[in-house]
Amino acid sequence: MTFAAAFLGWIQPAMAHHSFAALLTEDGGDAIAIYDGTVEIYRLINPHSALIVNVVNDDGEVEDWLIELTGSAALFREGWTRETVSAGDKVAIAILRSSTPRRGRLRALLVHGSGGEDSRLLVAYGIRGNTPIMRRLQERLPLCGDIDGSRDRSQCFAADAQALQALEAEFPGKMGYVMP
Amino acid sequence: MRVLVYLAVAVGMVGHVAVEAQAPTTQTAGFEVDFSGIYVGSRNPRVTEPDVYPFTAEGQREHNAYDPFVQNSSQLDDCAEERVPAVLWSGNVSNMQVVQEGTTIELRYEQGGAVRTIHLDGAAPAADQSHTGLGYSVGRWEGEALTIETTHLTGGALFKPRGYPLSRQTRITERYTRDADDHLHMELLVDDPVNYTESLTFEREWIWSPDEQVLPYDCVSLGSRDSEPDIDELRRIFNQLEPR
Repeated sequence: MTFAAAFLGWIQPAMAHHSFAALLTEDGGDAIAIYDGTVEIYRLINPHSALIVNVVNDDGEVEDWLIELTGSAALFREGWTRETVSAGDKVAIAILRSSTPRRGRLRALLVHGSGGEDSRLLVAYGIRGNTPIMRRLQERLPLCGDIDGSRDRSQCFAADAQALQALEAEFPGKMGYVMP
Repeated sequence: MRVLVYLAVAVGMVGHVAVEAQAPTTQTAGFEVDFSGIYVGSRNPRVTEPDVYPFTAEGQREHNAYDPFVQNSSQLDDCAEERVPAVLWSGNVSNMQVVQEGTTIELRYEQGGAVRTIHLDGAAPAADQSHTGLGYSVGRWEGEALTIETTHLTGGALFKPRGYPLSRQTRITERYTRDADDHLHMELLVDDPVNYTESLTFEREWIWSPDEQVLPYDCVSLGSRDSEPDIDELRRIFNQLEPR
């Protein structure tokens, strides 16, 4: 019996549950969209956790979007709980847009603080790991919650009004601080 | 030549209790070795795959025509039946429990809640044995190694998003050994005369992790990826779930 040799390559894509048909920009990059909205439903489920967010689209109209996150099996282990996000949270979301309408994969979620609480910035796909954006945020913001950053996946940053203002000044544009 | 391919896999966990870990012993009545317990894909598991896939003409045609957005069943249904060997590559959800009882071994995967039964009594598959995603598996001990042969598979693809086809004639041979550091090593051979002119070999490791758990999977489909989500239907489904 003969065996083929092995090659050096990154096998992570081979392990993915399925392919995410991302909408691409003209130069082939992921199309990142940013919206303001309100969380309607948050569920930790497999194989992908989900948010339904009532977003304000570019025309000022409210649309319901399905935002996919990592599955609950992995998020539980990263420290996410059912209280990490709540229905009614006012948020700004940065998503990787799907090629089909009103579906995206969560890149970052800014949960606006209420009642004097700090805002929380949760980062995920496209940012997690030892990436320039993650390092940028780590240098500027304290961590929040119980997310286990050692897993190099998601992370939670606390951001008071002053810190957010400073970030927006340094990285212009809507949620410019989580953009490539 | 083999070169190691590394995959980052989460190790350790928090969360609710699902399945209690079982401490392994070196010997169990009826078994050559006791592999019982819970295993987690090592943080840097060694996973190898061929550098060149020796396609038959049919395999090459299938490979060239493969469209992961159409032929990957998970694109249409998140909760599509798990298949061998794809379930063995699972990365983020890599926990696996080995249960040895009587003349069978059960391999319980967190991914998809898949459960494989390995028949150790030499019973051959029935003449009308159906083909399924997990197939029909028989096992045998060779010293301290467990060898499992699986047939009656539905085929599909070696990796869900990639076009390396598998036919219903595929035979999968897994050989498991556990070292002194409690690493469970798997060597996996794929024999599929329809698509490949030679056997393919893959490797992967898990680590015995008595403090870990195999969580219930509780799959919820978010619908086909090739169409706009039905938000109203998803809202109905989510509202029926206990908040979690």
